[in-house]
Amino acid sequence: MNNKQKQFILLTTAMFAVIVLIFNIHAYVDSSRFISGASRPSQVLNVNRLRHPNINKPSEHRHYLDLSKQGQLRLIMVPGLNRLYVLSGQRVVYIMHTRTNIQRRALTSQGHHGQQVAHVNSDHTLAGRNWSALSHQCYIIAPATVDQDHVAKDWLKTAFAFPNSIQLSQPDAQWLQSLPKNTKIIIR
Amino acid sequence: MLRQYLTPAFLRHLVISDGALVVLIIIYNLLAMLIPIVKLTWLTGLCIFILINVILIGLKVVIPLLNQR
Repeated sequence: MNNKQKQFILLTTAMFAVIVLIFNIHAYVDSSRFISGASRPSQVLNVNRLRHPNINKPSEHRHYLDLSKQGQLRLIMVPGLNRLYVLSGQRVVYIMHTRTNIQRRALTSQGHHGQQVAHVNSDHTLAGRNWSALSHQCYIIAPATVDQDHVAKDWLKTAFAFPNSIQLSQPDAQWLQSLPKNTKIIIR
Repeated sequence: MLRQYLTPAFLRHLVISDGALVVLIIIYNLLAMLIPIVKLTWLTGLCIFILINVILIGLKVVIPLLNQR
């Protein structure tokens, strides 16, 4: 490799560093990407760990934490971003892909949960797994089947809806069954 | 007219630096999984790739051309 080629690579690296820095500053300053009341570095860290929505897989590339050991635990659901944030104090400890049809309100976990549940309305029969009860007759659930057909991998795009529910992937819903009783869940 | 600036040697240098650029984008994304820096989506990666190429070609071709005029 001659000197000119080395210069070119150096120039590319320097420009890459500058442009990436600009992108980083822009993303960091843009408040529409973040939720208020939680530290931004922890949000960036967890967003970078997110995998594509998959009904059979956890939302992040990492092991689940022990929820009973987290102090000041609360959950914030942002329907606009399709994300559920698990917070310990001001720090985001986990982010999940999720969907909800519950309007803006504050819920609490009731502490009871189960394996399977079915919902029948006039058009469809919906079945879900790993449900956990919340206050106001709402619940967390992992959708499993619609009219005996398996739910698509990316369940966020499917057209069915469990009423009054927060819909998560199956491993995420199973993990949230260990949510301590009376944990706050805020839907923004 | 552009041919005298877009020489085969220049294009070769561009290809080499583009290879380095793609490697940098991949390394950056791998790094973003470990430390809290913003991850590049494939679209942002493509934007950066095009932008840097435009700047490089601009530096090597457009500026000498303007100077000559």
